[in-house]
Amino acid sequence: MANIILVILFGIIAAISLVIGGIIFYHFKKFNLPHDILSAKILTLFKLGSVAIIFMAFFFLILLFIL
Amino acid sequence: MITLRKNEEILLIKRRHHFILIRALLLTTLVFLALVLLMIILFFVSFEFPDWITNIFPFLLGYRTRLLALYLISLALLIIWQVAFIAVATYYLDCWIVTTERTIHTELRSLFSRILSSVPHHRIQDVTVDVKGILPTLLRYGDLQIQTAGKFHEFIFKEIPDPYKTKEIIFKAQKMYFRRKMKQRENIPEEKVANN
Repeated sequence: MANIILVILFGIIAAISLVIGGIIFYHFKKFNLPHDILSAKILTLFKLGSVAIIFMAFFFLILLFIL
Repeated sequence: MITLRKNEEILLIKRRHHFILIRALLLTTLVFLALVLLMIILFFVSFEFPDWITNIFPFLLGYRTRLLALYLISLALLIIWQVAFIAVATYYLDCWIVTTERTIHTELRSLFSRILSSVPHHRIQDVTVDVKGILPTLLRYGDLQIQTAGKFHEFIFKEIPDPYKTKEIIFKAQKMYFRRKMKQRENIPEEKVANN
């Protein structure tokens, strides 16, 4: 039961993060200035950070089940 | 993407002062760093849940406490990362652009609410600068309000750096705009003017 809760918790938080990320990307693409290099860097940093943290959480979740 | 008209050039882009972003991110950054520090400590130091917690939640005995704590902290980091970037997006996408033709205002009010409006230079009647408080005075940031003719969206450049300089640039842009329009009228042949 507790395992299911941990998995659901991960799923919900990861899904919300992806939705928020998608919305932020939409706003940047739709309403940004043309040829804006800094916004591209901001989006890359956000994307990489989100992916890294999601993978880290998933890694710890898998370790919780294995060990 | 904000698209410019033909022959329209950007003269100035203003966003809020950097201090506003730092202020918005300060608490988030501190919490993020504290959690990262806690994760690093957990890598080297093991701990067990106290008995009173395992008495209430016996299922916790089935988990390695260190791993569980690391997992929960990484989820918290993810939430804080999103919160931080919403603040960054709100700061970065709130901007005021002065072009050769108009002044554009774009503002992200929330994730599902945004404004994009523009006022042509010939509608600008007056520009007022408002610098209130110790920090705005020391850091030289403040509000700049454009008073317009007609029913235009209220144009306030909020918490921008160097508002007095911005005011001068807007007036210069307006002068250049009127000069250009006058030159265009002078170039129109007389028959066309008569027919119109």
